[in-house]
Amino acid sequence: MTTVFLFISLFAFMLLGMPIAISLGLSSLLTILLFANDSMASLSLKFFQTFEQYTLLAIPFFILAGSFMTTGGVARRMINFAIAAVGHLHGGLAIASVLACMLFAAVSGSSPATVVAVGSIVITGMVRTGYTKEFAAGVICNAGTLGILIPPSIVMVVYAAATESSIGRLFMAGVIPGLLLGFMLMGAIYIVARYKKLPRQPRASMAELARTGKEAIWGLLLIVIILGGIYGGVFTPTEAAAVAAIYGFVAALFIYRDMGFKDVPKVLVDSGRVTIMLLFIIANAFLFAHVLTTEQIPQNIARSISEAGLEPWQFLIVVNIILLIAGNFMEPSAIILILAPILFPIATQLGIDPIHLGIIMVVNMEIGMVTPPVGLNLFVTSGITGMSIMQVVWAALPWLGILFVFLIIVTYIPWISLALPDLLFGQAVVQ
Amino acid sequence: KTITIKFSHVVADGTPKGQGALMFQKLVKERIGDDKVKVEVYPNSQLFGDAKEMEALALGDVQLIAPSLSKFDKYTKQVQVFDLPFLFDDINAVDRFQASPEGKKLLTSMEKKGFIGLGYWHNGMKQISANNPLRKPEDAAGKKFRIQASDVLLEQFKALNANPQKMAFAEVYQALQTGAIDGQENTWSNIYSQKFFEVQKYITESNHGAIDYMVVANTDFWTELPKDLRAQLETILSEVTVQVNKMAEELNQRDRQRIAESGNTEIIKLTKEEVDAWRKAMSPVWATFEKDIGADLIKAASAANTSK
Amino acid sequence: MVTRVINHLEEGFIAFLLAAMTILTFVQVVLRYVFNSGIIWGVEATSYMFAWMVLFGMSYGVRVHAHIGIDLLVKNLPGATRRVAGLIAIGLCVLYAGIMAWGSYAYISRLIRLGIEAEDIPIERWMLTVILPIGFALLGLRLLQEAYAIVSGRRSGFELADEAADVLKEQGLNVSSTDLGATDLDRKSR
Ligand code: NA
Ligand code: NA
Repeated sequence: MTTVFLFISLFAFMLLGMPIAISLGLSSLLTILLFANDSMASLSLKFFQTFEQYTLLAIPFFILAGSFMTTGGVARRMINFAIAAVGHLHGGLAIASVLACMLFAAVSGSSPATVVAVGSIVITGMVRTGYTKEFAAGVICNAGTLGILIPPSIVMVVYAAATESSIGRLFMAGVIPGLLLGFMLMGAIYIVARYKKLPRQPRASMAELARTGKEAIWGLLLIVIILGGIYGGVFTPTEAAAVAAIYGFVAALFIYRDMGFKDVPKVLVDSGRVTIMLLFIIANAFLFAHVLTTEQIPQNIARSISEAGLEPWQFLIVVNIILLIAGNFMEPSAIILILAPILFPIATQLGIDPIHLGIIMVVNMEIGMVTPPVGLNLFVTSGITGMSIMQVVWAALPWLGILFVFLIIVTYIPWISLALPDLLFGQAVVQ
Repeated sequence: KTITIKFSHVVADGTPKGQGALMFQKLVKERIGDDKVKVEVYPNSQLFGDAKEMEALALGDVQLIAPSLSKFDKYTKQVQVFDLPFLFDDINAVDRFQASPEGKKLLTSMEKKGFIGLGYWHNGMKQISANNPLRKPEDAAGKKFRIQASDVLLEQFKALNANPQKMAFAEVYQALQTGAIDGQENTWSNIYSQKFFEVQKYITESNHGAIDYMVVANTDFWTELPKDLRAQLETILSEVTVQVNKMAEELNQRDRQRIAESGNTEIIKLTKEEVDAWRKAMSPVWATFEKDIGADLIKAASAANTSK
Repeated sequence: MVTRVINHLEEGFIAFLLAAMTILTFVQVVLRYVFNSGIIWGVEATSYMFAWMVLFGMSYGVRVHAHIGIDLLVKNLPGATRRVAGLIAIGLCVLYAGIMAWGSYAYISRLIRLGIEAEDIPIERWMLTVILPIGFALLGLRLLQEAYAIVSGRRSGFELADEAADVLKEQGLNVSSTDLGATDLDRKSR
């Protein structure tokens, strides 16, 4: 009864056009008021507790860093470098765009931001050289999802906070899957390009490659700083985010000089606004998860699943289906905060590594970003191309198949996720 | 009408504290019955985190918690006595002090703030781990140590000319591994369960302090319980306490052994002279906090050592 | 005029907190790694600034329509019905803000009575937490302003974020993408 009320009111509020954050919060408050005797004071305490989770601080910092990177011209130089490196292949510009998405994903924590940073520059270029708009938009829309798989990743930060997993380990776990997905997309483009005779760029001279590489070096260096700094013990992942933000500021203002001091307040306010919007959702999702816990809902679901005697592989199918459905409708952070507390204990019981589960969740969230009706990557792609949402959906569809194949691979070959963190940090810490 | 007791804590079910909570739940069910008193256990910060569980107890939304003693220092300065370095010779001395009138008085020292202490649960004596051998106090100079939030522990590492660092517990393992921090202090069982020994080459068996918990209830909730019921619960709790403390001690011994056998970490045993050098290096801390804690209380605690 | 000053202060405060958090965390890294020292209250201060930014910013988010939601359904309602739906939605949001403000007030009162200090910053904890009731009260006020805008006919419904446009704006692009979903039919499919 309580559970039914909680979820029905949540969906009713959302359909009424209320903000997702308040829908989560109000359904939780009303459930507590009607069915439990917790005080409202303790719920505001719980709300405030969100901000004492140190790992969540990485979110504003990575948003700020990404904002400096785009406004400051780092993305543009990464794209030039990518084109010089692989542009001469069949479908070179499209392959270069995927490479640029991979590079930008390694300094940005967000998928839509990656789509915008790369897409707003390359899509016009691709159309000019003879690709269809649909092809260009489809590629970028999907490759942009790498933003949350290749570290840093805001979605991973949220997962780590929800499950108390190691964020450093999770970041490292995203590297190989991120590269794999990137190469799968590139391979598919190459095959299509050979078959459809898509254009190639003139091969860049070594001098050209060196020049673009040198121009992009400050962006590329940040990748090394973030991963090397975390691995080398200079800073924690949260601190790495702050370092990246300061670095982005310095690169934009003093090295590339694509922006001036007068632009800084705008970047701060814009990043602040995105942070506030996200964290407001996250804090309310914590309230929602709190109600789930006090009503023992995760515990009960966990019990019925373990009583059903699911094998790990069967459980993972269930996980993927639930996440894919949720990903169609909701914001990734909220999904993770609501579902991680339910899925995490069962997975642990079945011997599934929490880090592996985290990567599976992230890949599902990637797919959610390119599926209607709610798919942020679809929206931003439509925004930068002027195509309608439906057109973008169709354009993205063929590439979505690759994401699905990739999801299956990642789900059933844990090694892909766990090899790098195990190599760098030793075997997993089992509590 | 059923009385519900929410017992919230921040560690895993398998730890002595986690086991204690479950044991309490089980005994209440057996002796009093689910229909009269229902105990709900919420482990792993499921309900409230480390920083907020005390406030949640004060609000009355949780009825029982068992935070580590250093968490109380904002509520009563006197509990800082437990953090003073080299005050207790061993865990038995800690036991004797906790059973003494002064120790029991501490349990009720926060009643006005809304907390009533029901007993102490052990975690154990602290050791210092690092990636370089710490034999003399000077060896710790300049090194970065992760500390729990406690003014005393902050001063303790400052007295060694070391560099105390605040860090979320979840980040400690990796910070130790990557060298973002050099060392930390903890009990054998925590060092083992958190796998810190995997990423620390040396552990100095210093036994320089205790990590213990206080089981506390919300004052209003506890005093408003029917008298006989309260007595019953208190009896159960004291039985559990004995078990928890026994379990904690066994666990520390076992985990010390396991760490030694892992071959990964060298355990440094200190001679009497070396212990004295550490004691002397950390001794300024006593003077710093004497006024807050009270000289009498420190004396009473020291006295627990002598009755061997 | 007054409104414009307030709006500016609002944005200035958010920008200041974000900058301060970032710089403080960066300085911590430098102090620890280069100078082998640290600011012991740094972590706590950063967390509180984080909290203040978000709690203060919730109401700002209403003003600039930054909060996201699913408005596919209500957006396609006929005028008057859409207005009513908007008012109901806002009413429920005000209810949320009200309950949270009230709960926060009770929480802060308890903290004042407890009279405990913060972990590392030497002031009482309630002073650092007091943004909680303030933030929710401001949220309620901003929501009522939105309701008034609908009643007075200046707006046709409760406006949520055009999230896509926001990302574009944040990334320094000003491509207009208003009513992405609604214009599907208008756009010639080519
Ligand atoms: Na990324
Ligand atoms: Na979707």
